[in-house]
Amino acid sequence: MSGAANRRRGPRERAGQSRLAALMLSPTLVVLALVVLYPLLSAVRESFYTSGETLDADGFVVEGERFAGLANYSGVLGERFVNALANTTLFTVATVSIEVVLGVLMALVMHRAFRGRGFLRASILIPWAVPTAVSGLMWRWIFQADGVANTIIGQQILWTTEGVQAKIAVIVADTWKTAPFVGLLVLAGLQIIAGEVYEAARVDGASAWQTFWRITLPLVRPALLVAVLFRMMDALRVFDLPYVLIGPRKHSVETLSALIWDEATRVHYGPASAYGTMLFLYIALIAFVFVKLLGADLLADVRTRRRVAS
Amino acid sequence: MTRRRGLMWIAQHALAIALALMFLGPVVLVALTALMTDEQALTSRLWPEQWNWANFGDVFARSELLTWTVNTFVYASLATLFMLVSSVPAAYALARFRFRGRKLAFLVVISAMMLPPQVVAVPIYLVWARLDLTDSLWPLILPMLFGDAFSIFLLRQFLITIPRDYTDAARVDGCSDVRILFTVILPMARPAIAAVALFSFFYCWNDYYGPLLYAGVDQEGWTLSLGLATFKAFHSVQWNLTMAATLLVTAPVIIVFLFAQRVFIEGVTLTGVKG
Repeated sequence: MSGAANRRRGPRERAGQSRLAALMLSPTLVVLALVVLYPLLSAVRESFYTSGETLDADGFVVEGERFAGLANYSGVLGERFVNALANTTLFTVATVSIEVVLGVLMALVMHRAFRGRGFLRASILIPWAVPTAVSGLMWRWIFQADGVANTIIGQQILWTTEGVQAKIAVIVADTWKTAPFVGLLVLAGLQIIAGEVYEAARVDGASAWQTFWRITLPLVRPALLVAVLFRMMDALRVFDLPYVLIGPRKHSVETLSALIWDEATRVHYGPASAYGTMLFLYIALIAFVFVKLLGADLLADVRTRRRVAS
Repeated sequence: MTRRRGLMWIAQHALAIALALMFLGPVVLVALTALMTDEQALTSRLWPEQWNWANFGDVFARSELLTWTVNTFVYASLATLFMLVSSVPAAYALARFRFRGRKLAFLVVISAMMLPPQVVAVPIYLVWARLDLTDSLWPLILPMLFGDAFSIFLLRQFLITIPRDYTDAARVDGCSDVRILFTVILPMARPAIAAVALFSFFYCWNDYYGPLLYAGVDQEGWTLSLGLATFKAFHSVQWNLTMAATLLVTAPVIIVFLFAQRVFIEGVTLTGVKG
């Protein structure tokens, strides 16, 4: 049926589609290019220059920008940058994996029909409605020395001081805040699975466990991969939560975004741009590897997807 | 068989309750603290010994909470509306049409999603300053008229899962591509569109750095997240007031969500994919 319709489509119609596509896409693409390309290029350019007053070779003060070569990138090998990179990676891996497990559980429960489902959906999605800056404050209050967290576990842990406990606090707060996002995306994925598929599985005598691994998970995979990709990109740029929860310039929770921001506020635009460029490359690399390894069908177009399916 | 079903029922409800506790728990703590007296809020006792409802009145008296709420609503609603008008056609074109440069177009959308905001903030700010639009929320709203990379990507992912047979059938019946978008694709994609609209609304609602950069120094033009963070700075030891403010801010969003949820579920039952 669809093959016949495809074959019947003539070149004139194809040309009409191109024109329509151009019409629908061009405003978006022009603006995205301006918002992405221009600032990115100017940031990369900035990363090779020094700004403000600098001393030249003879010790004279030089006003304005000067070409600095790779000088701004020297910090990339430094301890602070490497530490920020490690923190960013740790937070990303930890939060995204916990969120995927919790998110899938949430979606499965929210998808079922039972009394109080509306209440459950609303309560699960509340964390998302709390602004991040505010949820950072809330968790800071919970993780105080004489706060709720310590009361509940009966310990005296100084959560918001430097150390492993600060990392744990950030991971808990971030998971609480963003697992609902994964849950909602997976729920949307679950809802487009046809009921007959489950019925067929039940008729064939599949157990709930088998149904989950063999039917639900593969069918919800595209939605889950999108959720993971988004969360990874977001987690790699995380800034406000560690900043509000633990504080600025804390070694154990400083992320790359926080490092960039810190350098920029101290008017070290060169190093800030250099780190920003590195962060962008790092995110691009991870997204590329992720799509190559897991999501061959994620970015593929409709035709190849159909071939895979049939 | 019935016993197994019974166990499943218990497991499911236990999971539902555990999840609700995990995600609602901290909010309940916030609510309890919001009702404490100034002195008790500094202790670790969890249950309010004296219910201090006046805290909510205090928040209104000491801040521009109402103005901030209106600003945030206008900002989030306009941005979401503009985003939908521009992103749905763009996503449709990317998902369904074959044309030259499609790969490149998609690449631009994806790289826009990957850009850390701190990297590009300064050059973009300078552009808005030249247009004399800083000190307002317009720099955050107007770009949505041209689509939002995140939403376009998400919508595209949903649109490519709609079987082609539906659109082919419509085309055989003589439907134009634009009519197909409105009469076939849009009704089927309702849950996805509802989800994207929700994401966009919440993103604006949450956004802190956007408003921090553009809203200016006048409190009249602030959003809630900006106002609340400052409120905390001014009343640093009064956790009860901060938490009361947090609660007041969260409540309207929950109401919005309760309405949106209906659309969400209704959209699903109306789609043709299921039957």
